[in-house]
Amino acid sequence: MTATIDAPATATAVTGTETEPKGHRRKVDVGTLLLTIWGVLGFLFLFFPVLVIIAYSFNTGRILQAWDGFGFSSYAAALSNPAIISGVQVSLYVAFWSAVVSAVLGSLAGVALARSPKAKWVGVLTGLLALTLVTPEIVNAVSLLPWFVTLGTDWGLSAFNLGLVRLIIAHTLFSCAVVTFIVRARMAGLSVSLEEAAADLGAPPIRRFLDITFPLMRPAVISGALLSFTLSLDNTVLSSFVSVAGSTPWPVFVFSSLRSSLRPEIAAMSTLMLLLTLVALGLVAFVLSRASKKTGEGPSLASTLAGG
Amino acid sequence: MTSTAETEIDFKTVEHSTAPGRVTLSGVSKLYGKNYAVQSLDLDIRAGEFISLLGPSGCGKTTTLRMIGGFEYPDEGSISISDVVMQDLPPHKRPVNTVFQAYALFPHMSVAKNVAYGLGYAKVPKSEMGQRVGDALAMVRMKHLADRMPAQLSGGQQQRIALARALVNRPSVLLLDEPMSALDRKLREEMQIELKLLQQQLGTTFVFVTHDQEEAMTMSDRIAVMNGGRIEQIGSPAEVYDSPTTANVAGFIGQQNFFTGSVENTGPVGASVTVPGATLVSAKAPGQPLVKGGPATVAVRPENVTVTAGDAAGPNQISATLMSISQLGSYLQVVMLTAEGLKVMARTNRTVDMPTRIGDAVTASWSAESVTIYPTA
Amino acid sequence: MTALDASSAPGLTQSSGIGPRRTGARRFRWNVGLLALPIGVWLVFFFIVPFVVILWYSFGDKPSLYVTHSNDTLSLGRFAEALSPVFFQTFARTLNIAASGTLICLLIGFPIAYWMAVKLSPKYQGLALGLVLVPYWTNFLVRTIGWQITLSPQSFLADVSRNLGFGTPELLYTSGAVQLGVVYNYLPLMILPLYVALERMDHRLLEASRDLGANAFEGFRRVTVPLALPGIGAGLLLVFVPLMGDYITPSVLGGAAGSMVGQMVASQFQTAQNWALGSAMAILLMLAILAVVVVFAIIFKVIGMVIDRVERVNVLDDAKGSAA
Repeated sequence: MTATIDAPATATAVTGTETEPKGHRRKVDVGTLLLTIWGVLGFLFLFFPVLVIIAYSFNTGRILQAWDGFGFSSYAAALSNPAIISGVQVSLYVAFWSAVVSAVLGSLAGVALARSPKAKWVGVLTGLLALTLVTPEIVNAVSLLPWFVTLGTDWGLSAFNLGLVRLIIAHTLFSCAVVTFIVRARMAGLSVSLEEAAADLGAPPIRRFLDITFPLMRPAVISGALLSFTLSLDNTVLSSFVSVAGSTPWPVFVFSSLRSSLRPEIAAMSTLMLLLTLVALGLVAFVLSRASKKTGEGPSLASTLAGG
Repeated sequence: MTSTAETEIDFKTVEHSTAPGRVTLSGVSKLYGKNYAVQSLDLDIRAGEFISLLGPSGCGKTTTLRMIGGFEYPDEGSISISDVVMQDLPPHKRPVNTVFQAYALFPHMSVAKNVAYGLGYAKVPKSEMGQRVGDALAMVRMKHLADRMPAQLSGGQQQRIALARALVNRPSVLLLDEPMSALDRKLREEMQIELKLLQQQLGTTFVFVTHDQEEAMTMSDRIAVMNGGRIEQIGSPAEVYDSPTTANVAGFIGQQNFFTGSVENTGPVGASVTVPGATLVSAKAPGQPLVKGGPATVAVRPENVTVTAGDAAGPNQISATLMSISQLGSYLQVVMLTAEGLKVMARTNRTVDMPTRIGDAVTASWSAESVTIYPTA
Repeated sequence: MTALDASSAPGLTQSSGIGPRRTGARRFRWNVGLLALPIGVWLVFFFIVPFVVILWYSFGDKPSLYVTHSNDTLSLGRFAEALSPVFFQTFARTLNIAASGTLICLLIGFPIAYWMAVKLSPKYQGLALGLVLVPYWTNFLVRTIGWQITLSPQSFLADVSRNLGFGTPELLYTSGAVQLGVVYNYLPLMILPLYVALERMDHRLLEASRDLGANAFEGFRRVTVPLALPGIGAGLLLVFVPLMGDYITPSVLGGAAGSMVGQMVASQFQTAQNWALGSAMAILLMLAILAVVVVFAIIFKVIGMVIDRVERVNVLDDAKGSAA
C-alpha cells in the first residue's frame, strides 16, 4: 500500500522485470546444466560397483580382485560348485516361503488397517510395523538368535532348530510390514462403497471378500510378495545370525568367503542373481501398471516403494 | 411432458413385477460419537411414491438413506419395509437396492457382469439371467456397451449402468444417493426427466437423496426437507415451495429476499412487520405463531417483486437504488439497495416504463399474498 | 443382543417402548480389525519378546568361559563395560561415520532428487526412478564387494595410479573407505523420499512465488525447501537409522581401522560368546539411535516453528504499517 507513493522505484522495478527474462533464462540454463551433470554423475556413482561386479564376473583368474583375462570360466565354475548351488537353493526356498507368509499376514493386516481408520489399535500396529522397518538389522539379529535357542533347546520346540524355519521367520519380520503398507495403500484407494454395493446386491460377507475385495487388492498382494521375495534374497545380516550349518543362504556364503578369499564365481553367481532380481522387479512394475490401467488408478511402483 | 423419443430410456422394455414397498421409520436416531446425525425421525414413505430427502450437507439425509439400505444401524427407533421390521438386517437381506453416489461399479467386471451380480444371489436361473440383464441394459439403452469395462464409460453411462444394476433385481424400494451430483448440468436435467418417467412406469418406490432443490422439485411426489438431523417440512413440491413452514425451508427452496424486523401487528390471517424504512404486511397465516413486538423474518420471493419508477407510498413498498440488472434467460434479474442498506432482488419481465439504468431511483413492491413471516429464533 | 430380539419379532413395528439400545458407530460389516490379529501375534512373538529377552540379558553377566549369559545377579555392569573407553571409541566412530554419512547423502542426494523431480520431463522420471532402484535392489553385500574390488591394491584404479607414478594407493580398510561405502549404500534411501516430496510439490507454487516477486534463490529457499522438509526428515531418518547399525559395509571395507558398533555387537554373540555384554551393546545402540532421532525431531520442529514465527512477524509488521 505504501509502495505506491514511491513512483520512481516502481518505474525502475518495471524496467527491471522487462529486461529480466533474457538474462534470467540463460541463468536457469546454466543451473539446469549443472544439475543435469550432477544427476548423471550421481547415476554413474550408483551403478559403478554393479558394473564392476558384472565386469569381474568374466575374470578368468583365481582371485576376484586380480584381473587375469576375459572368459566364462567363472560361470561354469559357479554352476558346478555344490556349495554355491545349495546356497542359492536355500535362498530361493526361503525367499519363496517368506514371501508367502508375509503376503498372508500383510494382506490381512493391510485390509484391517485401511478399513478401520479410527480404531485405537491402528496407531499401535502402524507404529510397531514402522519400528520393524527402522530397527537396525543387527539388533533384530542378536535378539532373534537367543530367542530361537530358547524356543528350540530350552522349550523343546525342535522346529525352531531348523535353519530354514528360522530364516523364513526372520525374513518375514521386515517384509510383512512392507506388504502391509502396500496393501493398505491399495485398499485406501478403493471405495468402501464397492463392498457396500456388493452387500446391497445380496452378497454375504465371505462372497463380498472373494468377489470384490480380493480381486481388487490382488495386484498389491502380488507386488508386495515379490518385494518380500527380493528383500529376502538380499538379506545378509539376519541370515548370518540365525542360519545353521547345512542351510547357508547365498549372501551368507558370500559373506563367509570374505574371510578367506573371494573368487570370480561369486561375481558370476551375483550377476545371475541380479538378473533374477531384475526380472522379479520388472514383474512387479508390470503388475502394478496393468492394475492401474485397468481400474483407472493405483499405487505406482515409486510411491509404493516410498511407503506412500 | 417431453416425448420419450429423445430420452435414453426405452420404456417398452420396462417390466417390473415386485410390488412397491412402503417404508416406515419411527423414532429413528443415529449417533456419531455424541452428535446426532439423525434425531427422532418419523417418516412414512408411501408405496410407489417418489420421495426426495432434501437438505444441506450434514443434515442427515444420507444417513437416513443408509439406514434404510442397511449400511448403518439406527441407535434408536425402528425401520420397517412393508410391515417387516428391518433395522437390524444386513443389506444383503433387505428387499431394497441402491444407486450409489459415485456409482460404485465393480471396476474389474464388465458392464454385463456388474448388472448380473445381484441376480446370482437372488437365485435367478441361468437361463433367465441373460434375458433379465439384457432387458435391464436395454431399459437404460446401454445394451451395446454390455462388454465394456466401467473405466471405459462416461459418467452418464456409468450412472445408467448403476441404475440398471439396481433395478434388475426388482427391488420393492430403490434408494438413490445423490446419483446425479457428478453429472454436468445438461445431462442432469435430461436424467431427471428420464428418472421420473421410469419411476412412473415401474411404480417402484424411489427414495432420492439430494441437496439440489431444483432436482427435488422436478422429480418428487413429495419432498422431505431435512435440517440438523430432523425433517423440517414434508409435502408436495408446491406445498413446500408456496408455504414453507420455517425460514430455513423457505431459504433452502428457491430464492428469497429476507428482511428482519419486529412484529407490529399479528392476527389470525396476516401480520405486519416493521423493517428499517418500510412496513411489510402479510396476508398469509404465519408458519409459526408470532409475538407482538418480537423479532421476525420476512420472506418475499424475487419473482413476486415488481420494479417501478417513483417513490414508495404504503406498505410492501421500498424505495431503493438500482444496482445491477442482468438478463437471465426469459427474465431480468434486478438487484436494488435501499438507503437503509437492505438488498432487494427481483426477477421480472421487462416492462416499458421500468427504469433500467444503474443508479436510477426505483420502488420495489409486492402483494401482501406473497409475503410470509416467520418468528426469528 | 436386543438386536436379535427385535428382528425376531416382526410384529414390533411401533417404536413406542424402544429406548436407546446402543451407542457408537455400529455397522453392518463384521469387525475387520480381527484380520490384524495374526500379524500382531507374530510381531509380539518374534519381535517384541526377543527384544525383551536381550533387554533382560543385558542386566546379567557372563559367569564363565563356557556360559554365554546368566541373570543370577542383576546389575548395570554390562552397560558400564560397553561404555568403557575400549568400546566407547567404536561408538564415537560409528556416530561420526553415521552423522557425516547422512549429511553427505543429503548434500549429494538433494540436487539429484531435485533434478529428477523438477527438471526431468515426467516421461523420463519413471525411468530415472527405476535407475535409482536397480542398484538398490542388487545385493547390498555384492555392491559393497564391487567397491572392495575397486579400492583393492590389485584393482584397475591402483594400476592407473602406479602407471602415473603415484605408487599403490592405500584405500581399502580405512575409515575413508567405510565412509564412501555407506554413502554409496544409503544414497538411494535419501533420494527416494526427497524425490517423492519434491515431485508432489505443485510446481505452480514456484511460479506463483516468482510472480509475487521472489527471485530464483528466494523461491527455492521459501517455497521448495519448506515443502521438501518432510522429505528431508524422512530421508535423514531412513539413512541414519540403518547406517548406525550397519555391519556389512565396515566388515567388507573397514578392517580394524574402520570398525563400527554393529560388528562389535556381532562379535560378542558370534566369537566372544558374551551374550550379556552383546545385549547391553545392542540396547545402547538402540538408545543412541533413539536419542539422535528424538533430538533431530525436536530440531525439525523448532525449524518449522521458527519459519512460522518469521512469517507471522512479517504479517504483523505489514498490519502495523498499513494501520499507521
